[in-house]
Order: sequence, then C-alpha cells, then structure tokens
Amino acid sequence: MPIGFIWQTFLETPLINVMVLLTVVSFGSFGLAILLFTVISRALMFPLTLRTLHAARSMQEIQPQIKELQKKYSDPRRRSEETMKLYKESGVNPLGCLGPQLIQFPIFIALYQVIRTTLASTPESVVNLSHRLYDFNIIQDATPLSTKFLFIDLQQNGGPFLTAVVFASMWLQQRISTGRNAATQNDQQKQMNQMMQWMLPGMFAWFVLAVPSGLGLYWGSSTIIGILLQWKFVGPGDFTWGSLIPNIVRDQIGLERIAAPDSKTNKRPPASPQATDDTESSTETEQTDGDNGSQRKNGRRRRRSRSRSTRTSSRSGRRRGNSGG
Amino acid sequence: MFHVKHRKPLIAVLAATVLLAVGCANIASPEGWAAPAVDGNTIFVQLERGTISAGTLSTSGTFSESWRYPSETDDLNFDGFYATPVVSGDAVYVASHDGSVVALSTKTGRPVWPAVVELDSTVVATPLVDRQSMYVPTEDGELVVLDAENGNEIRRLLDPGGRIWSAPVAKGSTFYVGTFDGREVSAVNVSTGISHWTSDAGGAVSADLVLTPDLVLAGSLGRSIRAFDTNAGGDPAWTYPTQGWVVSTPLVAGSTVYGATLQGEVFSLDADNGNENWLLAHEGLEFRSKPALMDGVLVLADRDGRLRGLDPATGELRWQSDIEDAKLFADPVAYQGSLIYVSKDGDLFQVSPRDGSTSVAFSRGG
Repeated sequence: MPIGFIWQTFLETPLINVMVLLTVVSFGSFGLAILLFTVISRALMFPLTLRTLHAARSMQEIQPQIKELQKKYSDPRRRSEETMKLYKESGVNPLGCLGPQLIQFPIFIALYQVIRTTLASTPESVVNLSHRLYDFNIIQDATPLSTKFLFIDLQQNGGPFLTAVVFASMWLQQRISTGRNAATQNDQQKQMNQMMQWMLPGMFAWFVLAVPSGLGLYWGSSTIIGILLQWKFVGPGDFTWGSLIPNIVRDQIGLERIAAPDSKTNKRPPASPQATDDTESSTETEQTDGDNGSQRKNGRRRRRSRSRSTRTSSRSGRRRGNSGG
Repeated sequence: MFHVKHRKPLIAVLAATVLLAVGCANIASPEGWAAPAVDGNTIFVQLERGTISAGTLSTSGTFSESWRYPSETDDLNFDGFYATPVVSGDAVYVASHDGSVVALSTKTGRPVWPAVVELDSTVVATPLVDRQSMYVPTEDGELVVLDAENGNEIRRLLDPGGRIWSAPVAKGSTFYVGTFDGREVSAVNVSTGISHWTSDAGGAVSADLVLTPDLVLAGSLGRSIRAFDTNAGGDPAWTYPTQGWVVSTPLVAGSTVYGATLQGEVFSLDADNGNENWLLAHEGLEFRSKPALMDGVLVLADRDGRLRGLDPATGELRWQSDIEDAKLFADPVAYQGSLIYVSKDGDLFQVSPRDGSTSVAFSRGG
C-alpha cells in the first residue's frame, strides 16, 4: 500500500471527520474544536507523557552521579559506558522523552492538511473534502465551518498574537527543561542549550506565521498543556518567574543580579537578608535554592550508595578479569 | 524536556517536518477552474494559471492562440481564475482570485480600462455584466459595482459577510445572489441595493444560480437543489434531496432540470415541481462540472476525466469515454458542434457529444 494512501485513510481522513464532529459539538466553532482536540489528544497521550516526565525526574535525580562519572572517567568511551550502565540501573531511558514529541509530529502535519481541507478555504478544498467525509448527516451537513475564532481567522496565516503565544510558551518550556540538567553539562552542551532556547521557539514562531492560524492555536495550546504537566509532575527546575526580569531591569529597580541558568557561574551568592525581605522574586529564588539544596543532599545520599555499588561491580569485574586471565 | 545528547536527531526531525509542512503549503492553493467562454469563433480560456488566452480551433482541431494576457511584458502576476470570462460587446471581462479585475479587447487582448482594478477581496464567483455596469461578487460577501467602460467603482451592494462563490443571476433590476457561508439566497434590487427577500438555501451555495421564468434554483452542500419562487417573495417552491453535495450548476432545458452531485448521482427533474424523472448513480464518479445537452445527448464529465453520454429522456447510457490524467472541474462550452473542456492543468479537449470521441486541442505538455 502506498504511504500516501495509508496516511490519508488512517490518519488524515479520520482526523478530518473528528474535527468536523468536534466543531458540531463545540457549537460550530472550529477554534473551540481545535482546543478540545488538543485536550483530548494530550489526555490520550497522558500515560506516555507521564512516563516521560517520570523519566525526566529520574534523570534529574541521577545528575550528581552523572557528574561524578564525568569527573571520574576521562576516556569518553568508558564514560559513556558507565553512564549507560547508570541509566540502566536507575531505570532511566534517555530516549524516552522523545515519545510524546514524535507522536505529535504526524498529528501536527496531518492537522495542517486537515485545517486546509476542512475549512474549505478554496473551491478545490471543498471538492476534495466531499469524498473525505463519512456518510453521516451530522458530518455531511456541517460544512462550511466557521473560520473565525475570537479575533483569529483560522484559515489565514498566524498573526502576531499567536506567534507571540507560541514563542513564549515554547521558550518557557525549553527554559524549564534545560535549566534542570545544567549542572552536569559541559560547555558545548550548555552552548547548544542556549542556542536551542531561542532557536526552537523562533523556528516554530516563524512556522506559525507561515501556516494557518488553526495550527498555531493547536501548537500553542498543546505547549501550554505540556508546561502545566511538566510543572506539576517534575517541577520547574531552577526556573523562577523572577528570573524573567532581565539584569538590566534588575539593576534599575534595585534587585540582585542573576546569573544565566546554565552558565558556569550558576552558583548564586547567598541572597542578602535585605533583598530577601524586599522582593517576592528574591523569595522565589531562595525557595528554589532551598529546593536545590535538598536535592543536593538527596543526591549526596544517593551518590554514596551508588558509588558503593559501582565499586563492588568494578571489583567483581576485576576479579572476573583476573580469573579469566 | 530533552537531554542534550539527543537534540541532534530531534533537530533533524524538526527540520524535516518544517520542510515537509511548508512544502505542503501549495497543495490546496487556489489554482482556478474557470470555464472557457466563446464569442463567435473565438474561445477565451485560462490555459495557464492567472492568464487568459484567446484563440480559435483550426480545421484540424488545434487551438491557435491569438493573444494572451498578461503577457511577459505586462509584468503582472494574477492568481488563478475561477470566474468564467464574460464577453460583452468588444470586451472580455475577467476577475482573478486575488481580486484583480480587468476588461480586455476581444480582438487585441489589451486592457480597455486605464488600469487593472484591484479589489480588497478575493473573487471566486463569475461576475455579471449588465448594460454599463459590471457586478463582481467577492469572498467578503459584497457585490462590487464597476463602471464597465472604465472600471471605476460605482458602489457596493450587500453587507460584507460570508463568501459568495456562486454566480448571481439577474431578472430585470433584481439580482439573485447565493451565499456560501450564509447558506442563503437573496433577491436584491441593484438600483437601490434593497434586499427583497432572503431564503434559506439548505446549505452552502457553491454552484451557480440558475433562473427559470418563475424560479431561481440553487444547488448546495446541504445535499439538495432548492427552487425559490421569484414571484412569491422567494418562498421555496420545491426541494430535491440528493446523497452528495451539489457543486455542479444545474442545467435547465425547457421544463426539465438536469443535475449531478459529487457522489456520482445524475438526475432529471420536472422544473415546475421538482418531481424526479429519473435518477442514476454512477459509483465512484464526482461531478463538479455542469451537465451539457447537445445533439440530443446529455454529457457529463467527472472530475477525473471520465465522460458519460446519456439519453436525456431516460438517463440510459449512450457512450462513455475517458480522458486520461485530465482533471475536469470547469463547465464545458459549446463550440462548433462540439463541447470544449479545459482541464485544471490547462489542456483543452474537444468532445463530440454524438459518440464521445475526444481530441486534444491544446496540451501544455506540447
């Protein structure tokens, strides 16, 4: 079977009908249907997302051990082997986090086609839509769907509002994600993270400008749901809302300067009691530091037990090696 | 979210997705399916997206182009045409999807207006030229009235709203307009702009409206053809339900209405009461182009180039033929005893209604 046929029959066409049906139950609003679809799709993917978030949390917990391995082994191959062993022992799948994202891409591409076809923006798409709709009165009689949602025309390319929403939400998601593992990253990784922090949201913001607004609405709402889930199940990492205030503004309003989250100078000096008392953002920072402190303590405890087991396995390995020789 | 070591494949996936999606952006772009128009021996047709060509068919059946507009020297770039060119006097009026409207000399193909009129809305429906005015229905839901002599805008009728995809029809000073998003048919006095009546069309009106002495017919996505009594304030006279969407303009011949749907139905109705004379279902065929009646044969063209010749009295199949790789969305036009179809790719076909034999009059592939 050609891939195009499979794509259309099993993904695109069902999605077209689902979207039309959701529009009917959303009082004829295609925009509400997109939001409803986003919630449903995120709910269906929730088990996978939860697994990913747990993996992220586990990853966060073993960061001290990873850092120790990085210090301990200078040989990249050995370091990699030991890291993989650590992943295995801790039950962490480093690729597990890709699942929900990879599933979203086909949906994203299909939804692009679905929006173009379902909204019947051109006479061609009306004719194409005809044989894609299932033969149910509720679906057949729903066309044409309203293209307006609030002040957005869903069939027109994304405007500044949606672009800003997508950029900001993706930036925030990246910021929360990348700050978490910053401690164990080398300079190259940190540099890459810095680049991704801006490049990925920038790319999607540009994308929103180039495709129908409906797709931007889906991506923006999906990212926001992702942030909420991440916040609830993994936490914000070292992110604080106060950290959004740039240093140049902080200088002007008398707030303490903050270092970049994933720079080498991540260790912040203890906040002065005055600053802590003065501002809410400082309090947030201190709370986060406190969290990190407890994480560090936990990390130390885990590291001790982990290094014991690592030593044991190393010795047994040597023994096996000796007996074999 | 992602461990940094696994970013590279992710970036590759993202980049591929972006490229793929942007590549898909042109799939549903408006290409236009304007039907050809004929004036005497001259055919006016869109052979290339956004251009209008004029020419004649030679004795060997080959299209001989006399002019094309815009030419390379005009430095103009129009969207495709959905609206059929309208010939009135010595001018042919064309409206492209991007809202550019121009009147051209039928002889030379040069503009007769001082400039191309650029409307602030896109255009799908065929305009109507009546006496000194040109009426252009827009996708903003307005009816823009232009001076046919010079293209100056005179006024705008109807309130902006849903899209108009179907060509309006006129009876005296009353215009009948069908709306796509509004799913209505309205009667408007073109002198005053006052609406006489508005009736529910039962679905989005995509096919051109058709006028009989007492009725205005509207095929719709509501899977029906509905007839409105023009003498009784637009009261529905009858409704004929169908299985598929009616985007093909019904054909009225005497007291009979012939219609076709996107689910392969072809039917004949009594124009007075909508009673069905016969109904045939051609499974797998999708009819967008208007049926044609010529030499006692009802000819239908499916969007994939499958032609059917039927007995108009009984619906019995007389002949069938296929034009390979031809996307036939445009209505046909009668020309010297044959029917002319233009495909979406800009190929021109001559079809004999007697036996369905086809010949290529012009092929963009050479």
